[in-house]
Amino acid sequence: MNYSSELIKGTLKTIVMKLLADNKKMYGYEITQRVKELTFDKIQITEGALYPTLHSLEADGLVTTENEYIGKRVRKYYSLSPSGKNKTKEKVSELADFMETMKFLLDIKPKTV
Amino acid sequence: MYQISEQQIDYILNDISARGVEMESLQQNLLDHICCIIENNLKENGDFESFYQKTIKTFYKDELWEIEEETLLLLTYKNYYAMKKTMIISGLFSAATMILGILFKFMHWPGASLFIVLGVGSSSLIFLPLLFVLKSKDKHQIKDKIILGLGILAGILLSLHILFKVFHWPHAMILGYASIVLIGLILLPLFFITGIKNPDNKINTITISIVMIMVCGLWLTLVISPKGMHYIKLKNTTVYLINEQIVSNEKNRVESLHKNDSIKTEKTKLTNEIVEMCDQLKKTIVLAETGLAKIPEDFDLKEIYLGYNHSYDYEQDKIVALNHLIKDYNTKIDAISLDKITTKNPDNLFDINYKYYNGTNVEVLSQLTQIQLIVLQNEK
Repeated sequence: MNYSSELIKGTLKTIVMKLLADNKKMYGYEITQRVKELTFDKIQITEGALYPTLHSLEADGLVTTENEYIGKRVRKYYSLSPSGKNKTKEKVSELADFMETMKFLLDIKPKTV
Repeated sequence: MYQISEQQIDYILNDISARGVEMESLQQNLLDHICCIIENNLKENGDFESFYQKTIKTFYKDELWEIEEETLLLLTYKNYYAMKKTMIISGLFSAATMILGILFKFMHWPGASLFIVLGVGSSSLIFLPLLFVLKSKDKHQIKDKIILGLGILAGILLSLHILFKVFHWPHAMILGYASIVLIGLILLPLFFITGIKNPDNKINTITISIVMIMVCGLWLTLVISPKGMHYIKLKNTTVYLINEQIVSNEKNRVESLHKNDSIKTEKTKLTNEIVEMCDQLKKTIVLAETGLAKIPEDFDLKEIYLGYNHSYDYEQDKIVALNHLIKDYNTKIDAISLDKITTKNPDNLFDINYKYYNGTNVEVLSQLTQIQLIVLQNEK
């Protein structure tokens, strides 16, 4: 099963930032592959969603970039800036809290007596 | 693992750019991404081109440039909330300064101009452009965005026109005509034709179109027609020439009066100097208005007129000199109880930039003539 793009869109920034927090520096293709691996192909990040998000994170000063030249092509590595690291903690705990709320809201969590 | 050649890299990069992706960093991102996919998934002897074409198609729904569009959208509307806040604050600021400006203007308190300039300036240069950026986001069709943009541009031009006109700044009329042409000849037809086709919008389209016609009509009612302007110029020039005739007659009379005087009194000397200084100032104004030092008798035939202009580049040194002369003259006159030269500003007798005397060139000319006549008539 693949999740719908609406669900992924709202959580993509958090996913990317958490991965960068755990892996120091990553490039675009690597991020898509790592997410695929970790979720057993359930979450597949499209290029059309990933790169706009990375550019936006860069413009917000949450990630910094580093270029590596591989022959004629350039590989752009992304890593979290200090403010990005703080923001990641915030975003992850916000999402965790949100998921808890959703469980109650959608009546998924078994009620304890 | 497939080895990508340099030619193939150039091929991919050219293809990405031909598909409409223009941002260099995004091109590099996509190039590296595609290369990684090819290297990891294409067999060593696989068909590069067909594999590439298949892969690139998975990147987008309709066109590859959608990725760039999405990127730009995220970057532009990153500041969406800040923009919204700025728009509201600048709007409130414009409204407040405008109200204060009008209040100060009618109460004749100092500072009215500053408030009005701030009000019109902030609304036309900050509030309205931001309104366009934020509102155009809600308009999905290109034609709606264009109509919104043209409407706001016309509003900006019209407000700046009124501001420039009131303060006698240059090019005010160009701004006015530009906004009216924009509304009447571009915005109105575009709005009407696109709106009338939609049955839901028919009434709305008709009423807003009528409002636009009325705005253009009311503005054009306020503007002096070309023929009207001709009459004003004709009147100005005729009055000026008659005044010059009277001054000249007075000069002749005074000259014949003093013909036999062997020594000229100090008052007469001052009179001559004042008359001469006024003549010089008049000459510069006439030159600025008409391009000629003297207006010919057949000015109407040659179409040389005194217009409706304000000048701010009068020769200041001559104005200062004239004021000194007038002051001297008035002290001398005090002793022999003749008419003193009185002007609107008691401190600075002849001051064309006097705050309550925002005169046109023609008004300044007539003020100079009045000064000449007073001193000449005192030579009885």
